Amino acid sequence: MGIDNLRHTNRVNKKTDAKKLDLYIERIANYDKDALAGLYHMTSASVYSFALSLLKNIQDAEDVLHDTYLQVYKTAASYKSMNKPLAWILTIARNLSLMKLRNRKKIVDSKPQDWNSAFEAIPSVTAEDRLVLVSCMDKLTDEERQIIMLHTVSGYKHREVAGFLKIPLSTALSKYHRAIKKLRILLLEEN
Amino acid sequence: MHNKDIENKVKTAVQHSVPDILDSILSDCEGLEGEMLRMNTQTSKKSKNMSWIKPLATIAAVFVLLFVGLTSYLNMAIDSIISFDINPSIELMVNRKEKVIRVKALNEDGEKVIGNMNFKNTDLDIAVNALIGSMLTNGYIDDMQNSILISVENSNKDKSTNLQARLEGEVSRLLDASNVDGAVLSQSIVEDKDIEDLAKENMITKGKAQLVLQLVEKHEGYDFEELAKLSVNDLNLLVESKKLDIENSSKVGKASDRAYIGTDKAISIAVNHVGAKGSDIKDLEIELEYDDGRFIYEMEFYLDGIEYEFDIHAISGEILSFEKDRDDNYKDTVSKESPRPTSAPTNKPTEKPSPTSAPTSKATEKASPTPTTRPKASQKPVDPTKEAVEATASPKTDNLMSAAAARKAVMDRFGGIVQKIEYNYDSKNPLYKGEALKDGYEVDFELNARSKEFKKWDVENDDEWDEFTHALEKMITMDEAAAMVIARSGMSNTFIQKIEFDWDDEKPLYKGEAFNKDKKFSFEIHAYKGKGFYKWDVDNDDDTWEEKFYNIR
Repeated sequence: MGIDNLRHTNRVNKKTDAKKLDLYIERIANYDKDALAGLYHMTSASVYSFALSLLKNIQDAEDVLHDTYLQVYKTAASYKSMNKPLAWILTIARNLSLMKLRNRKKIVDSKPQDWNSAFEAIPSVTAEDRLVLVSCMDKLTDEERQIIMLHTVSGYKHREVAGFLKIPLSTALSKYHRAIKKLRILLLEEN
Repeated sequence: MHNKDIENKVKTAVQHSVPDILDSILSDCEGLEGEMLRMNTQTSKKSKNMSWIKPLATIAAVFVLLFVGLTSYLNMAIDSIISFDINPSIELMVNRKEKVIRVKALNEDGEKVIGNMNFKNTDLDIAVNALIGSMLTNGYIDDMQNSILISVENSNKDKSTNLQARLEGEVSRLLDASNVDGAVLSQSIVEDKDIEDLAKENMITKGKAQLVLQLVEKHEGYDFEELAKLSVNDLNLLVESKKLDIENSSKVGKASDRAYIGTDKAISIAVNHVGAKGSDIKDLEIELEYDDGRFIYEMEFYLDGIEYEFDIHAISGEILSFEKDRDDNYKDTVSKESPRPTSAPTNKPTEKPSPTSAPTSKATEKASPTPTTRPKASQKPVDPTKEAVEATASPKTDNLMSAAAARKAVMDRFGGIVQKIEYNYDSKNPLYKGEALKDGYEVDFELNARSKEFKKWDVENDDEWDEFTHALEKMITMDEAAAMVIARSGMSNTFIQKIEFDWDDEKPLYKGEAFNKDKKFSFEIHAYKGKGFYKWDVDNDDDTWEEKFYNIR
């Protein structure tokens, strides 16, 4: 996947991006697969990182990534623009992730993932990336990780993070603060 | 390592780890169209069945509105809450008639400012006058900490905006009268549970909590708890350094940076460190930054094809970090571009002062004999349309006179009132043109926005002044009208390109146009105090600002 495409998802272009995403979804409702590809390029990092935050398993996160876009394709016609297309997509990803978590509990208690090996197996992940990702997965709490991913990767403002996770803004801010402090210490130690 | 660096590392690492499964998704989408059609039909049936909800919701909404209206009526003792923050933080609660109901100090300094004064049933203006006077007397506003934040909370947005503009004007006037070069930041706030909680938890006013939240939301890497501890002046410095648009706010004056070494000193420390002369360095970018509990000057420049980056402690001048990196693309790229006399604007909001100790604006032009814009090797190609605009426009560092400064220059020279002032864009000769009136005279002026010199100053007899002098006390000033426009635009750097006072005994108005990014605001404001806006039109798709006014405020 072109990394440059993913860089569209940042705060500076957020307003324009929301418009673009709305247009993509409108086209997807008419079975336009190019639009689905465009939407995927712009949002897959957000979807994947959020699913990974919840599921803490690379294969499961990849499944949710896949199913999210199928669901988007199926339900695009029912989408009503409220200028929050990414929230709509992430809500689908969240519901699919929660469903997966419930199913997982029914089947078997899954083993915690060995993050170092898991990320080492991905060729595009550099050594520094691996350190950052392992720190996020191993050292942050579930909520801290979700907050960090929504804020940094999806470009959500703190208020939007709080709204999406249904937590008070003050909690979102203080948990972000704690998470960044933890990451700073971990990264400095390694350096 | 800065917070924003950590954020960037997380973002990059995630981007590198996302699996590419697009082909598999697209292939699995084949044949799903039929299913989509069935789902859509079900959805529309469902919405049909739910049609009873709409009228019920409307009735419920009417009841809710009636209830809210009645409750508000019964509880309208406190109409507005106004807070003042410097380091002293004070909250004033006033009723509909702007009589003070209660004054509350939110910290020890606030208590000192209030002292034994009793403001109950006092007019708001008198209370503000006394409080600002006490802040000055107690030394809370001085050359080092000259910023004050005024926050107005009222459920009526227009009322809140008008009061905000009026208080901003009044406080500026009080500071001027005391020969203090103050910076007044004012904002309208609305009732918000999240902001209230943040204010309580961090023991600050709701106004300061809102300002800090906006800084945190608009700038990567800032932390709420850390910024909440800063003074309003330091927050104001960050707003200026980062050129952040604070919503529903307006600003008069410039925050003092005298507590810090200043950009010129920081540059000279860095230049000495690499053993160069100031005139040798290129593409200098410097900004005041706050990170890890301290203010630093972040700086980068090029010397002989090497990129240097410095972090310099803003108080001690200590070099906190220093990096250099050869950029082989630098010379190649430069040689391919046609030379420009000055540096063009970059996307990054920075000032580009000279490496000498001369004033920033003048020195920038001198310090750039060679072309200074070049995309970094990793940068994506710029939009060709935008490039054309940037190439023909004057640089950001032009230091053009702001509209407010132009009005002040006319008033300082002439007195009376500015009756009309309009900025005429011309890249070589940008002019403010207009007329001012005083006591039987009219002056027709042209003021060069770059050199700040009057190019035309024709005084003639004119008796229009006599028509409205009797009403001057009852009317807002042109500056107050401009502040209202800026506040209503929701962006502190909105440019008042044209404003005119139009006298009419019954309905005197300030009329004009203002611009910010893709927005054009056409306004008419009642000149009589307290009457607010008569007309407010916003064109959301106007490119004049980008073409002509992006480098002026």
